[in-house]
Amino acid sequence: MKKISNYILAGIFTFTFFGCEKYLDVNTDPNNPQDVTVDFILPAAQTSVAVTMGNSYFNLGGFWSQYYTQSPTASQYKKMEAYNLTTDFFDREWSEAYAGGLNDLEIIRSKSTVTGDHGYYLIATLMQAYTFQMLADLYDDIPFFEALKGVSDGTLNPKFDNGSDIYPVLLERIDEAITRYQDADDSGMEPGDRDLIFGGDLDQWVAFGNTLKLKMYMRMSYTSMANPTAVQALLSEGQFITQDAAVTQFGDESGKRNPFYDVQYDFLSGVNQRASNTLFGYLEANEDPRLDAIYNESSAGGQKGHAQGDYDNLDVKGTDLSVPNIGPTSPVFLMTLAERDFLIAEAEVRYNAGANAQAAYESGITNSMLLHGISGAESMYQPGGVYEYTATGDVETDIGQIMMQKWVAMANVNNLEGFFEMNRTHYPPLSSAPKGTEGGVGELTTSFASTLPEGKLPKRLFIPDVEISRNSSGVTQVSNIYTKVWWDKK
Amino acid sequence: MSLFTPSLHAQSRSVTGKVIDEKSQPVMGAVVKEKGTKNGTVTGEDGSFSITSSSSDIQLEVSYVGFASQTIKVGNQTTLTVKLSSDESLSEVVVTAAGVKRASRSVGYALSSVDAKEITEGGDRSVLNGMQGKVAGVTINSASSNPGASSRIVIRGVQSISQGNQPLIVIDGVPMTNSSVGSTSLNGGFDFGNGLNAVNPDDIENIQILKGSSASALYGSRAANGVVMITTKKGSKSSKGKKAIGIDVGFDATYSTPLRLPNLQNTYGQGWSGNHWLDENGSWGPIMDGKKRVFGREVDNSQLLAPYAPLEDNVRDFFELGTNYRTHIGVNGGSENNSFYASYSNVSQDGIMPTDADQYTRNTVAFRGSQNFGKLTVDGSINLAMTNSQFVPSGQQENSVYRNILDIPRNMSIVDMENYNDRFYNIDDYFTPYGVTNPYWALYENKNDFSSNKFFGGLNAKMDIIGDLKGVYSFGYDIENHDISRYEAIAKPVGPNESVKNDGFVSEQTIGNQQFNHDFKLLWNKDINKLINLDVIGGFNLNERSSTSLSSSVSALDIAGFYNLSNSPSTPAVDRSDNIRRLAGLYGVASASYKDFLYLNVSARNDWSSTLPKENNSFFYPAANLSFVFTDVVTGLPSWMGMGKFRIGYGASGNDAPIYVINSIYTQASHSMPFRNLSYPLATGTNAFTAGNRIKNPDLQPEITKELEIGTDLLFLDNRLGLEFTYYNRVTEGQILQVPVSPGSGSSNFFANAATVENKGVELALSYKVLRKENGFNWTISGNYTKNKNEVLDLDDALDQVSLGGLSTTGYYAMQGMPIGVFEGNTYKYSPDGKIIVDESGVPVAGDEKEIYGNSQRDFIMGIKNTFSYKQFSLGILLDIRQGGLMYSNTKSMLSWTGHAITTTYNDRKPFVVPNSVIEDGVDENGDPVYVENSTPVAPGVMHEYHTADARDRQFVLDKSYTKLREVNITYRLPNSMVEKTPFAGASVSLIGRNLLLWTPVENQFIDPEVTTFGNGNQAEFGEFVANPTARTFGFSLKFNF
Repeated sequence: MKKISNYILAGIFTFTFFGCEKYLDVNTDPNNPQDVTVDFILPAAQTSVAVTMGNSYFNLGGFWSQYYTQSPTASQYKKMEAYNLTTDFFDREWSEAYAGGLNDLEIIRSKSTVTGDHGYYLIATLMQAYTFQMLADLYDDIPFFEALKGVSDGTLNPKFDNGSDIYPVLLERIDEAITRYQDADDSGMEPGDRDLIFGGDLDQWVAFGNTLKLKMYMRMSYTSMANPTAVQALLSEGQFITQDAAVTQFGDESGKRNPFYDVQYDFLSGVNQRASNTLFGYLEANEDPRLDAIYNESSAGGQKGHAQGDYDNLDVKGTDLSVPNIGPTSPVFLMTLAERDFLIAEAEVRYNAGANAQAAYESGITNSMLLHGISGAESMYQPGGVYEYTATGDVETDIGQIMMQKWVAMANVNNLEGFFEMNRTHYPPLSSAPKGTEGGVGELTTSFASTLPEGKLPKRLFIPDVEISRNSSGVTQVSNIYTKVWWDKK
Repeated sequence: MSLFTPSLHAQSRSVTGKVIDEKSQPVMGAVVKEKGTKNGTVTGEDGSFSITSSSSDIQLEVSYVGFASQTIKVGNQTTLTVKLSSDESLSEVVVTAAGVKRASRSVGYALSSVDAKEITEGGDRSVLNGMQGKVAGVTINSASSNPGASSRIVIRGVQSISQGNQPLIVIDGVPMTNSSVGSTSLNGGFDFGNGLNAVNPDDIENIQILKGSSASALYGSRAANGVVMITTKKGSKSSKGKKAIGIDVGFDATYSTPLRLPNLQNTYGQGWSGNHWLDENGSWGPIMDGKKRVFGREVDNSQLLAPYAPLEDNVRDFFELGTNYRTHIGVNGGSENNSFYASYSNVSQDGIMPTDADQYTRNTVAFRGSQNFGKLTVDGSINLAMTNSQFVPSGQQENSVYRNILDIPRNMSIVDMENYNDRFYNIDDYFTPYGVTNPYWALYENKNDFSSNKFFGGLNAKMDIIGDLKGVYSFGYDIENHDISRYEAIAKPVGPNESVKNDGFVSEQTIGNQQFNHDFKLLWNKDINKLINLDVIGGFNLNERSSTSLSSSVSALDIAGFYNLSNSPSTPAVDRSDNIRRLAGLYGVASASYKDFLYLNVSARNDWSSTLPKENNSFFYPAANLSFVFTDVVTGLPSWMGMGKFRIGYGASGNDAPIYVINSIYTQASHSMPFRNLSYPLATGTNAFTAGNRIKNPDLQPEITKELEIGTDLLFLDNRLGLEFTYYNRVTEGQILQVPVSPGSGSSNFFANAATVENKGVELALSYKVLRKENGFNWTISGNYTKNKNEVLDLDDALDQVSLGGLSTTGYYAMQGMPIGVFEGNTYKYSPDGKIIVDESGVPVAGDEKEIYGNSQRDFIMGIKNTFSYKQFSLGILLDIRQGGLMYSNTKSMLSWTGHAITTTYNDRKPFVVPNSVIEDGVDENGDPVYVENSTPVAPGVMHEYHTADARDRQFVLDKSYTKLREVNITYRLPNSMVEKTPFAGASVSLIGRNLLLWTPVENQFIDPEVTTFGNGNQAEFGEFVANPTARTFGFSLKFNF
């Protein structure tokens, strides 16, 4: 009997000291992978950016670019129309951008550096630069140099950096990624259709990098960091995108649709966004066929716009007003051919004496209309057409013509870009009419619901609470949303 | 109760006998005294005694600590067997954590005991509900009176902010899985009950509740929240060669009616803003004048007609009489070397909702046996519980039956709507288009079904190894399989109701939970000398818990009425999840006693857990307690002082981390959007993964709970008055919480040791035998009182507050320096001089800052039971009192919106100016707003806005105090003279009632505050979101034994 108890004791001790570790080694989550390769991360990173760009910020851009206005018979976006945002606005989008897309892109960048998958490195670097630029343009100061390092080196409170310090680094990163890809004998794993945007066409990505650089240089055009030489070089190379950069892989099923459609039109039944008179009136006055592509007829029938921010006017029913036309499978556009064309046109005017500006301008209108499935753009810009380009030699006047068309081309396509460019160039111009009176055709109206001081329009966003409340690096909230961001110098 | 078996022998002055306990085990050391004399003796090791008397009419008093004393008229007997029953008073024999039976005097910690009779006397199918109000320091809430719903038990307050707070359930030494199955969705919550629901209360002999963490050494970290130790009925071994069989049969039939329905106004009828509009889901219309008016939609040029008059009971009339039947048969028996117990029970319940959409069926089979093979004793048990139930979902939207009911105007009949195919009541032409529909549609067309099998028990082998050394191996198993099916019908109303649409829904889920437990123990007991006894246990424990869940659902259906995952145009969303955790523990317990008045118990345990980082996965925790029966030592105490014991204990226990939280992972990508997610795989079939948002934390440490308790157990006045008092202070440090981090870091959280929580309080239990009349009339009062103070002592700097659930309007938090469960919500916006700011309609505006309303912790809880007995009759009345604490009520919020709540008749709905209010009137030169006195009254047109103004959200958080007439039981036990003529050995009939009456503070006119729709965790205390009404039950119970 003693022997038995000895055996038992011996067994227990043996287990305790040797078997225990193995017995307890069951804490590896079997429901989720511990690690995955970059080809499985890339689509997630791309749709993350598409969700950030293609939903809440897209919606904001729609209101603030005066493509949309809040229906009087609903209330969801009254605060946006009133420029009366609380500091928790866009908590979700900020988290998705940083802890989602940007972080995944950073992981792809570091993994592909190790594995030599330079194509993936190229795509991730460009997508990340694109997203950082967008955030910097919205918030002016964002975490950048110390960002995305929580896992790699434990930096949990990244300090904020200004867009003017970020842009040059983004430009360098774009160059470095292109060079790395182009100089490599073997660019590693082919992204193929894991790349949702260009289907693995890396030449197109190089072109995307160049177009993105052009976009950034144009953004800096009114600042001391404007760089005509670099722009001239880009123009002379002429290696820009030849197809739209867009995420198109949507299906008409809950959770699989175009993000804006799924949330605004399927979940919220499309009761909020209505055609703003600002864009609607401009298209109507110019008999622009894009009106029927950008807006759907109201449920009561017919096309009708509404004054920007006039949601307290209960005489008008939402069901009588036109509705922005986004479908369940509409693409989320990151950058379009029309945007490329108008960037080129502007660059030509600014830094090349307008050499090829008209051709680029006309191509921009053509591509914008083609995107909406409309041909025959010539009739709009040909001599005598409503959008005829007249080179005056005055840079600002010529740019004005280009920017008005760019504003139209961004509607329902890249609403936020419309907002940025409007702030940068002041086209369309803000009407001098007091609050409560609509501007003329082609003029911005101060939202009837504006809570900002007279003559002010929103220029930026508050830093979301989710960041400011958790980040102890000393960042302070901005005092208002009408202070201009760093490149807004005109 | 007591029983003695006379044997027929010739008379003698010398009486011999044997004292046994209820299990026929000999009782050593019992005192046998001749009544009225000093003549007495003590029973020997085999329970035998011999006493000689000169009297011819001897009466013997037999007493032993832990048992009810008995007086026996010996008459002409010479040999007696005296069977002692455990006393309900404080001097009971208890089963200690180690499963060792001891006199309670030796136990150095608070321990309460509830016996079989108490658990079953209310006729509830749930073991936990049967204990409500009966034990100090223990809070038990039944979530819902929907049949089969869960019950939550918390001992000594909420300790953990993020992990479970329920005690460990141990059945015959084996830990049981007590997880719940349910959903706290606001759009259709359901609750299919917790694991303990599988236990048939009639199989239970006794429940001991170990309140402190003193049992942690034996059961590991999970015992830090206390232990509910259930001892089941066993067969009794009989004496040589004899076989004894006992049979118990019980049958209860009880009936249910709604206990608390909201108090609704009966003045104003259908309409809105004072207008008699026929499509409104509310009663903001004109005063009902009783005149005949049309109502509802016009269909085929016709319309319904009824008096515009209140239907005061239109809600009550909807409900039906619920039925609850409980049948039990138990057989026990044994011979010299073996014993067995077998039982079958059936519970069949149909709740108060019409139809069997709220029903519960449970069948249980139990078998236990024990066999002695000389030095080896083996016993084992098999329990099988098969449950099937349906639950009527709670919450908002048209799928909630009750929400649909609450939106029906005061002048409309609800029962008339039962034919939901009727042209006026079908979903196309239902009177209102505003997000609700015919409640009968929701009741008949949507279904859920829960079917569950639970299989549990254990095997126990005990062996005499050598001398005083015994070895025990125990194996426990608990295997659950749950199948949950839920269906929602396609509802696509045409015409004005088209927004109340549902594409249909089918969800199928299978959950499996397994728990296996092994204990290897060595027991050693030795009398060192005449004064000192030493009892040592050394053990090794392995515990494995695993679960799997497989679910799939489609949220659009093709063919109406066909509920199958295949019946959908969309791809089913499928989810599979598995988890497993293991714990190994090495422990030792040593008890020493000195002269049976001083007892010292020391224990220690080291655990190794799979859920902690490898470097930190080992944790050690010691404990010690002391019991001192001072009445045995102190002399010169007054005669009314009976037994007195002082106890003190201090101990620590460690707890591990939630499963799979220490590492970073990748997850299938799903991007968060407002109201929706974009989820992979994409429509094009592409799949992708994203880095999880969690940063790994290899430095995570176990949580450590430290507890001090001091108490005393006292008996006075010949044991007529018993008192137990305990003070405790329990602190859990290093609570493992998800700590948010800056998204800019690329992640959003990690798990860290981030909080300290303290619970301290007092528990008081009292038992007083007020009357013990010679004529057989007895009156006993027993009561318990608990006061607990909870505080979050420390919270990591990164955590301003931890959300425990709640809503976006009314939040529910843990905050530093406050009790767990703080309510925070909107309040008025005040002008600089403290006046209420209103808008142009005169309705108060909500401020930007939120206000703390208070918290959900009780001030105290109390149970008072009066028991009267006279001859064959007995009457028991139990009051359950819970004072203090807040809860959120969406029922009140909904009824305030619809104008049905009694509170909406404020000021007879006449316009009034909000007192002390101001209105903004431009800005001054500094751009600051200027406020002027408000003179705009709240007009009838916006009265509903006043009653639901965000600024007034505080009104929906109610004082959840209540007093319930929890149980009433009137029993008639057939007298022996009658029983003898029957085949029975005993029979009784009872009238029983549960939850018969409810008293709440005036502000709560709406709900039974015990109810929750927020599950079984911490959020359960948040409140309710259109919870179905609770029920009272009453009926009768029959019990027989053979």
